Amino acid sequence: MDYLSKIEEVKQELLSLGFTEDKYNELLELAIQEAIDITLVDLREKDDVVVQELEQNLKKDIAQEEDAKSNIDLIFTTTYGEKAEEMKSKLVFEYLETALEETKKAKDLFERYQSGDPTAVATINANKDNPEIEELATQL
Amino acid sequence: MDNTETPINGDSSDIEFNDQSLPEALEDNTYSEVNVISPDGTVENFKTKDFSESEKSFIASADTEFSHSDRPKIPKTERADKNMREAWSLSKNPTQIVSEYGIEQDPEAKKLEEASKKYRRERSKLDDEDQRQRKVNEQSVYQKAEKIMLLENIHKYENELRIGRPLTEDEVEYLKNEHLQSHVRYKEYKSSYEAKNLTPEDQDILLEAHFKKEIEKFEKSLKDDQGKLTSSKCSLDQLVALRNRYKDTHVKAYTQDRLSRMESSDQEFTQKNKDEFMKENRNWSPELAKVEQQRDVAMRENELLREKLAQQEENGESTIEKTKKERDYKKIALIAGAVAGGATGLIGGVPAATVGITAVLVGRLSSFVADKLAEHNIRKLSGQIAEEQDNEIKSKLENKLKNWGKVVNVVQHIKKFLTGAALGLAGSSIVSGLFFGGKGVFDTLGAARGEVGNISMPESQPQPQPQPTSGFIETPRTAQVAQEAVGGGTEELIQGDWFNTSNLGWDVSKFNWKGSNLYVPSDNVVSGGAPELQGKFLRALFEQGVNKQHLMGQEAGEMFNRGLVDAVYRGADMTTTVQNTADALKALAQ
Repeated sequence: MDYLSKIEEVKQELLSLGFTEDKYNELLELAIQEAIDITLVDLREKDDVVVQELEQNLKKDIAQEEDAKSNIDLIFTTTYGEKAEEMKSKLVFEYLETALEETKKAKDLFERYQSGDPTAVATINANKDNPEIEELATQL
Repeated sequence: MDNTETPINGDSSDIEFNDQSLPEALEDNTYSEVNVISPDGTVENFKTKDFSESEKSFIASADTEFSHSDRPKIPKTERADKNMREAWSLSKNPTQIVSEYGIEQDPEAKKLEEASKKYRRERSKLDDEDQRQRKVNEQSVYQKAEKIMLLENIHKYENELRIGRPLTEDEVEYLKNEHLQSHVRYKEYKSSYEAKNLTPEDQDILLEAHFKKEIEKFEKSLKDDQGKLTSSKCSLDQLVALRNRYKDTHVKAYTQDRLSRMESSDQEFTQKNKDEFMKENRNWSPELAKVEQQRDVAMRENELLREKLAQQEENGESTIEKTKKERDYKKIALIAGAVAGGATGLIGGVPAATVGITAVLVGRLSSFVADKLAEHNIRKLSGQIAEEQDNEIKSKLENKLKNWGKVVNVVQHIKKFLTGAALGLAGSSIVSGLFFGGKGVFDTLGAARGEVGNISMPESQPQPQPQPTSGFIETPRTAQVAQEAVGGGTEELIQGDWFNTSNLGWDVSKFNWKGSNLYVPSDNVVSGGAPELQGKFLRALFEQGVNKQHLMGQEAGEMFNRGLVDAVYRGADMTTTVQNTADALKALAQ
């Protein structure tokens, strides 16, 4: 699958749903970080020698972007082999796609609430005292 | 960057979310600290939840060599003289002696004795602890009986002296010395002989000769009518002195004898244990014992290391979990901001921000990373290690876990670059550049799907070099040029910094392009580089009035490409080339 094209399509949809370029870029950062974390979890399934070799080859004193990039490439290549590049875009795409779906659902609910849709009003009101939302409201 | 944003549907800046104060994971600090000291003096610190360790303890590593200095041998205490031992030898059962002496006449003691008789069992039927306790009790009674016998012996000696009996030579000698010690001149002579370093024997001969009359007079005072030395002639002080001397020498001898017997008993016990141990462990040797001890220490070290590794893995995973949670909050904030748009104040009596967050949470899918982690986290490495019986496999797993923890740590530092924090840079073109093969997403996007217009040229020609900060943002200048110059329904040709030729009917493979999108940035480009020149060429064509209709078709594409290659890669004059190309395109369209 051409995940990079899919990413672009998702981006356009997110922009149409209210994301600015900057906000989209922030979301993209999150997607990349998540892709790396998932790769780390997958890395544990590799042979101990492979993990040791990776650890030895990683640049420890990262002072430049190139060092960071080199390490990222090394981790992905070690974990996914020749599918490393594909996995990068796949994992990022999946994160963005999920965010898109969440945005669509949230926007639909928000707009229906604004227009006074009884179901939406009831849903929002039923959840406004939700402890998770209260926690988020204090944390965010 | 802010002034280049083109919000498509409202402005989310009205809702500000502070995601800096995310909840910290609770840390469990209830660890004991174990320090393993290597022979070279280095100390490795371990945290452990094994509370059999003290709060802070130190152990030597398994490769530590200990040197044993010989402990000074304590001379074994000799038993008392056989005649002396008669003074406390038991003439009958020790329990009977103690009982008759009246010590145990306490009513409570009587009750205990009766109970002990009632419940008394054979020693062989007692368990080890009870056997040991009974032995201690018996020893206590035996010792008490001996002391009683000694005390009675001293009383007997005192009574015989008082009644009157012949004095022994030793007693007479003792009394004579005691008497002479109180004689002033005797003491002076003795001191002068000692000062001359005379032997004790010589001193005695000289003193006896010198004080002969005094000695004869003293001995005569102790003799009865038959001229025999008897205690009945002793003064009270002399009797007390003899009694005290007897008591002191015998108590001292008893203490020495008791100590000697205890030492023998200990030695016998130790030897017995040794014999039993050797019987069960015929191959035992000090060398083997040392190896076993080292093995035990090494095993403890391994346990500590394993615990540390497990903590590292937990830390690695908790780090991932923590960052996931932070990301979730940020994502919710981003989506809530996009959804709420410019809405402020109250909506239906509820703050807009709250409505936004609620809408996101209600419509939210299950946590993406949580699912992924659950998918991949079925068996934790530490769990596998604990269950693994094969030492070789276990060692491999431990090694993997250790190195994995280090990789996670390195990645945490990389993430700073991904967020731009370490470089102090903003904008995700760098972020995506770091992640996607050194180019911005659009670069890679095009390259991967074969649509990016990177023209294959001789190596001496400058190659398209997308710059880090140029990737994502559609600048006003680019947009404006596109709007003003293209016109006529050709706006879709420009997408950000890219010229999209996919709808112009061009077969770009004929041009040796790698894709149908041409990189045409207007800002933040290397001066004189291919990207800048490509952008200049395109904008100049538009300024010459070229539009989508002029560019339609393969022939137009070939004209465009020819002009582009001449202007950008062959060093032809830009203005002249643009003018010629524009003229040719317009002519073709007519």
